[in-house]
Amino acid sequence: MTTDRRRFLRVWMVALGLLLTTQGLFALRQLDLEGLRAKWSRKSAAERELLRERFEQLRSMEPGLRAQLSERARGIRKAQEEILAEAPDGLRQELNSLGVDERERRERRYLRERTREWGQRVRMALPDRFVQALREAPPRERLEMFDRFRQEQRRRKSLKAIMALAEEMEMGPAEVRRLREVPVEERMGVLRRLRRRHLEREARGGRLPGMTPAEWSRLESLSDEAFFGRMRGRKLPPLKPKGHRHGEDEGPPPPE
Amino acid sequence: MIERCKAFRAELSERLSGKSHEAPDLFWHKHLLACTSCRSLLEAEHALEALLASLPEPMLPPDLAHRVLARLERDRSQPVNQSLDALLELDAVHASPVGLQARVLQGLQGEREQVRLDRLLDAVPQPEVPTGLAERILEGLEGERSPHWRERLGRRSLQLLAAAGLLFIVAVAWSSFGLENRPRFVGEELGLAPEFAVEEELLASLDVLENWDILVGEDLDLLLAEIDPVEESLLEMTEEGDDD
Repeated sequence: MTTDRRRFLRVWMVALGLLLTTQGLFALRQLDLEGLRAKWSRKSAAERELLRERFEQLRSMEPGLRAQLSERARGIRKAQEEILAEAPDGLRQELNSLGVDERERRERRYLRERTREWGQRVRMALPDRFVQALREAPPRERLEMFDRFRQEQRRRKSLKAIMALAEEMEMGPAEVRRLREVPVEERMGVLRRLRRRHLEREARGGRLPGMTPAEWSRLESLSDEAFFGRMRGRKLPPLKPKGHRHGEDEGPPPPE
Repeated sequence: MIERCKAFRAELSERLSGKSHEAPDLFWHKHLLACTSCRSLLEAEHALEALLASLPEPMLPPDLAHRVLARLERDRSQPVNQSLDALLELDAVHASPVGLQARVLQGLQGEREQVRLDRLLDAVPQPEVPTGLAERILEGLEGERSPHWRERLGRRSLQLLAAAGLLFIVAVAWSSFGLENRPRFVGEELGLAPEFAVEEELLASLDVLENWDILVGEDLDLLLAEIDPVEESLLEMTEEGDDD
């Protein structure tokens, strides 16, 4: 085969790859739209009316806020997928036995229950005065207060949490000092990685109740985001400030 | 006479006159190989030198000394004889060293052999290049150097075909995936009328609308559930001071 023919074939292979990729992506988008249409068609009239009202409110918002809502909605959707992935076998069997409409409603109810449980647990960890202030604030203001609180927590405590884990996770003091200068989001990424490694170590040592080595192996391939999505329903050992090691002055964490 | 012959002969002249003693360079040998005229000249020079070297050494007649002395005896009374004696003494000083001729001939022996070798080489017939050989070789190589018109056309066609294919694929990708102007609404991708676009936008926003109560903070517990386990562990940490 001459060089020209080989070059020609190579160009065509690349071109075909490009075509198949774009067509595949286009098909996926169409499929997604068809799925959304079907989902809409399964809604009751009352549900549709409610969703239309919400949609009008959404359209009246400024683009920046709409984009922010979409981003958060994507995060919630991912978290819901992880909750469903961790659903007990009994629920799975139940879902599989249902029709599409009923299955969607059951899934939605289950997700709400688990999300509410997790929210209640988070509420217990918040200062009472802050919870009271949130309750009393109108929804829009409540969102802003909540967002400011989260940012402040991350800013004030992320480095301390890293220091609590650093020694145990063999991170040098120089690296910890460097993290003081990086943006909070980057620091949170480091904290997630360290916390995950810490939890894995605890689980392998048998210090994480309700987790078998087989279950941990199943979680190994997940991203950090998905991993902590699966951890939402579990009782995890708390982070202790430096010098205070888990197990030194207390027993294992209580069972879930 | 071409310039190279002039240069060669100038160098030869320098060598013969003893001004240059360096070994002949590449130009010297290449020119000798190429130029019959200069080669003949060099041979002639070598032959002349060999001839000169082979000549008997010039000698004075054996009785010349007696005749000169007799003549001088007769003229001894004249004052000029004294200066003549001095001249004769000088003549004795400038006599040729013993064995000079033999040494010169020995030195020329190698040159003579070289001349003989050159003659032998000249006697070897020069290989003759057949007429038109270069043209025939170039003609034979023509196919390799510039491909046949069919092959050229084939290559050009392949290139054109590849370019056209790429153009087509890019155009298809452009139109189907919306690379030119991303539609604002999902429905526009399907070419729906603007009134349908609102409906499609609603569908595309279903995630937001279904989780509306969480997103806008209507339900406090659902809102708080956005905190993940890592952030929750931060909440549980006792505060003793700020990080920063």
